[in-house]
Amino acid sequence: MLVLIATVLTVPISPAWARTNVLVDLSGNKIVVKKPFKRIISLYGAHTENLFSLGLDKEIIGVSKNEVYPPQAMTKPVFSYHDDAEKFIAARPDLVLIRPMIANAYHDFVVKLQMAGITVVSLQPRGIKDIYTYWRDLGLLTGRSRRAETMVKEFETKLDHIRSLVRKIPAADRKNVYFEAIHSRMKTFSPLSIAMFALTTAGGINVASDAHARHNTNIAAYGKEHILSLADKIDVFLAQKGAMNRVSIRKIREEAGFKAIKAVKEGRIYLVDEKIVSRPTLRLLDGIYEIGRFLYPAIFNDVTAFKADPELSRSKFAEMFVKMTNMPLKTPDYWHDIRKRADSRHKYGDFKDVNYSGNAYKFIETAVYRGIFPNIKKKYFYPAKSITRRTLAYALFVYFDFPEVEKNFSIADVKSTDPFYEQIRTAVGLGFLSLTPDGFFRPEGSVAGKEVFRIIARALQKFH
Amino acid sequence: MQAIQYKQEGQCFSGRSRFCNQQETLRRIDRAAGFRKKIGFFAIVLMLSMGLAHNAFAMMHLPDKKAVVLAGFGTSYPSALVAITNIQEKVQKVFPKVKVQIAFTSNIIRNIWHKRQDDARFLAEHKDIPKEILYVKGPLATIADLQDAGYRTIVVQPLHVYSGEEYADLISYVRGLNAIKTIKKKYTPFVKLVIGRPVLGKNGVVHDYHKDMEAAAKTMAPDVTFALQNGAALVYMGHGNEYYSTGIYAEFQQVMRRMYPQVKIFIGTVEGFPSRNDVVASVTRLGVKKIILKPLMIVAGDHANNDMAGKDEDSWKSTFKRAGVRVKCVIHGMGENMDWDEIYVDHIKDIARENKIELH
Repeated sequence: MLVLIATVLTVPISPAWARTNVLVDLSGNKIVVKKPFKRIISLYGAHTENLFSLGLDKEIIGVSKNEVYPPQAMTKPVFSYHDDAEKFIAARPDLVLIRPMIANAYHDFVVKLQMAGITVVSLQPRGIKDIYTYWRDLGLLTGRSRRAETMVKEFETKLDHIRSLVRKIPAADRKNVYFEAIHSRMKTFSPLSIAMFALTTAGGINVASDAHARHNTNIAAYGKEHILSLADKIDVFLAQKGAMNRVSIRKIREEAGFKAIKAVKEGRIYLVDEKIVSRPTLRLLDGIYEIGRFLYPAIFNDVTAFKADPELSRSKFAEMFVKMTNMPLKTPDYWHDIRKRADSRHKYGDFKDVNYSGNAYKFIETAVYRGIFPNIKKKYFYPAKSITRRTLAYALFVYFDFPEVEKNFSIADVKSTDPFYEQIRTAVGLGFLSLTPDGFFRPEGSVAGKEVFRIIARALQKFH
Repeated sequence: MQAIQYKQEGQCFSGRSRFCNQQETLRRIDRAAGFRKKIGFFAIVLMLSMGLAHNAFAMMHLPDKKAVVLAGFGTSYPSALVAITNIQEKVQKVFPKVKVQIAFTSNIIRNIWHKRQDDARFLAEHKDIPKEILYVKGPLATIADLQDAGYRTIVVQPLHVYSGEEYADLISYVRGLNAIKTIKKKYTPFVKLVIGRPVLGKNGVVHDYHKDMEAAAKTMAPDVTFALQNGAALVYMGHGNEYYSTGIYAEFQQVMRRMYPQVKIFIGTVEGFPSRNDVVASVTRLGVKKIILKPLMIVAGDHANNDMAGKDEDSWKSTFKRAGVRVKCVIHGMGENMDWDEIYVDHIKDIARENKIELH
């Protein structure tokens, strides 16, 4: 008894513990959580991501179509609200997570599940404050309230870091941004939406702050004339890209009237994956960061810390290369990046030696999909291994359009039959990498962070 | 029946002799018959006249004007449309008396253009785009509309590079329409509905496709010159098809190599054979270090910008660079080559001649 009292007194009381075990979802259902749900089907990608972020895996017995993140989601059976309810019932879930769109449009389907004794919970946060409540609700449903609190703290900490970067930007240098939500209808995001939160946190100024949201949605009508009335003011044209907005930079550039927009004239049109700017997940931090890289590359692409490394690792090389060249972050698309790729090839999320809930994986996969690493194995990236001089020469050749090297010289330790001969010869011939006095290239040698920085900076200056 | 002589002799018992009555009746019958004959004659004449008039009327209702339909996939990019309008202008110039209409087979592209009908700003910015493009239809609707407007002799000329799935579908459309057989021949919708052949020809004995390949190869001399000036090999990226294989790209590559032995030439496809990897392997096996990369497509659209010149590791450019080959991309469609466009005119002339259609 004394032990029990001592335990209770020593454990800190957090808001999660003080919460009731009742939540009311967006369909008005009151759910009393007596014990955590253990067999969960998620019908929305954001729910899936958050369940994994909460540390669940075996409890997730089904996900929605075309999910690619986290990589474990691709190992789960796929369900759809178009399927027969019997398919769900046969899987014996105790919880099915949906959102209001499904609850409204597929009411009969939901009722069938409920009549079979399955708890159906409809959740979808609108603004940033809602996101914390939503994570806590998921935590409550799954018995991971403590982890939900950790997620909130982690999110806040990283937001603070981003804000500290943004504070370095003088007010006069802040960018005015038009953030497009739906191109075909000339719609932007509502000022209180998650996407606008991402923009403003990244230091962008929303030119369409007078937009009025449609009731209960994140989208706001704006109209072309309205956009064009701000043509001279728009420094950056940002558009979400994905199922909600199938757009390309060319499409925006060639839109009638848009050539009057300052951002279009200056070629400052950027696309960002809708899943990292509109979804209420930890990846929203990636979206904010990515927007920051578009708006203030010098601030957000800072690689100073890597210059101190005496031997730059492959992982850090990927990050340094992506940041210095301001390469847009690769986010996986189910069709192009997973489905269409041959099974023998590496697909986003395949690396067993990369942590896909960390930070480095984003830059690793971006660099791999850009093709700057040779001989990529399907399941191993070797992130901690040092980058070699051979790989550096290869990466430079692939990324930059180098001119031909006229001068003739031989390389003692790289034969002309070497598959990377031309790449190495070019790097040496243009002065990026040197030979030893006796003509050796040392292809398997490592490279210091400082040297990689110098080489990439020079290549950008001369050939970009 | 002649009047009975007895009557003529004026001798008939007046009154009601049966014989006289008989005679009178016969006379009446005779007169009626004669009258009927006259009526019948006039009726026949009248009917004939009406029939001729109807025919004449019917022929006026179904005139026989001539049109050419240029059918291709289409493009939604105004900047790329010039490749197609070039061809239309050229054909119209050669056949000034014929209506030349464009048809796009892609419904997505058609819808994009239709939406622009009400986009005043777009229209103001692109005054050079022919108005008909905003109302462009598919080949079936285009042919039907033309027929409805009195164009009953129609030459369908595909803009296709080769005889593949799209061309096979177009032939199917034309065959289907030609299968319409009305009870009266004069009401058949078309006097003549014929289809020309793609640039690289088609199978069969009427036209030797080898000659078509050579004619096409001749138009590509400027590309060869450009490659020579740059000390590079010449690589073309065609479209191809995963489900409809032909050997045409491999054959055309050989034609090009024979015609231009001074430059290394390679041809592959986005979908189908030879693939991108086949071409890269061939290029690197021959020790080529630099290439000019061009689309072997009418229009330089999404495939040229993304599959060919895009930044992803799987673009043709990236794949070559990863193999140590330098790449210079030329993002222009074959439709911008005036000599290539001349081939469409020649193919229209051929099909017209073969079907005794006078287009001038």
